[in-house]
Amino acid sequence: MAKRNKPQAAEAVAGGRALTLTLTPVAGMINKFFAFADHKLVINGDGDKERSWSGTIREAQVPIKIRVFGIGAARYRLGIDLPGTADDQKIELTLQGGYHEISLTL
Amino acid sequence: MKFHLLFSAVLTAVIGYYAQGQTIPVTPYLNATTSIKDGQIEVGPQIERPRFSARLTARIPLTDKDNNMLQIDRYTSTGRGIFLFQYNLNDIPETGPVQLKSLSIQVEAGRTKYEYFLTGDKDIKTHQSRNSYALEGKYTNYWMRGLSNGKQISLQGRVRYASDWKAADEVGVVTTRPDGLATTTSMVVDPPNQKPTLSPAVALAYYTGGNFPIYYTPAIYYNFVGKGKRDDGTYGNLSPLDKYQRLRIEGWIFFAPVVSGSPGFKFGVAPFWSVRTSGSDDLKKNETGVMVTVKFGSTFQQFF
Repeated sequence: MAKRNKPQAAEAVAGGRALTLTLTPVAGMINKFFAFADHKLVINGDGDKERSWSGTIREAQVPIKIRVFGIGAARYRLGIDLPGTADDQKIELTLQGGYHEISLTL
Repeated sequence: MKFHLLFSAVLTAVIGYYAQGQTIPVTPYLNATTSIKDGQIEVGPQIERPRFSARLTARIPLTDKDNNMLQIDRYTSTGRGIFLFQYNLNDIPETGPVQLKSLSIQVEAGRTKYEYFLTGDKDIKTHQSRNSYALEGKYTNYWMRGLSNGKQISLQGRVRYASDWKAADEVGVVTTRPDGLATTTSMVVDPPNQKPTLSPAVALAYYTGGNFPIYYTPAIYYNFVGKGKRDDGTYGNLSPLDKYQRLRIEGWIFFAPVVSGSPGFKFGVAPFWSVRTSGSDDLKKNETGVMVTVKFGSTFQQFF
């Protein structure tokens, strides 16, 4: 396998927007949670309990990507909190064949 | 209030809130971790960074298991300190396969107090405190295809050396009452014994992908067990090579159904075969059977 560039930890952005991402196992077996904010890895945790990240993102459109690994059609919940910009958003998602990913722009 | 009562710390409230397991952030990279498992409480600080993590904890048996309570006072005589260091080498891209590799080392040291009745008289108690040690190295390689219906494979290896003390088994002691009636009382009459063990093991967790929630984890263990005794009968022989060796193979099949309210639930079944390759122990040369387990809050990569 070719060596890949590793994502970096998120850095604080002055004057940006506060963001909290939360990933929670709901049903079935979730093995790993990964989340990227602005192409930086911000969540890397086992799927046995809730994992979250709070930080600051820039004002311009920021790509967010969630990757979740599990077994079968397990389910998890994605929470997005942008204080002052939008109400808390929670969505429950189902893995397909042990995997699910979702990309969005904030 | 007497002095020894001042020294008695009861951790009921803390344990009640943090039952089972909890990690509390203290600073950006330092957490406090606590858990209750198998009648013991484990607490201590933990540092987590992307490339490594380190944890130093104390593990102490609960004083009152029914109420999840630990009382620390001048009578507290059993405990174990555990230090774990883990180095991670991960490749986590935004698309495509993901590979997580980690190498960890764990060092344990503890002291346990044993009680027994040498003369078979319950009024004459003998105490002995013994030190136990363990050293464990673990390697994990977890590869994920990164697509729906993609494979997931986790290769895990572990080598553990432990020099543990164990209480002797209870035996029935027959005593005669003043009225002539004979009674039998179960008690430990022999002192504790030492059991050095070296245990390498390897397991391969394999998920084929698809929506049927089943995966496989065959595992192989090889145990070297020592007598613990020197030629003159005294304990202190730390070699694991002079009593017996046993090979054990387990074929785990795990079923992880989607159960609302119970994430991480799995039911596992494993036929096993164990064969003694040298020396002698209390089992037959060949032992076979089936193991069953039920776990909650578990993951595919958690085996050893």
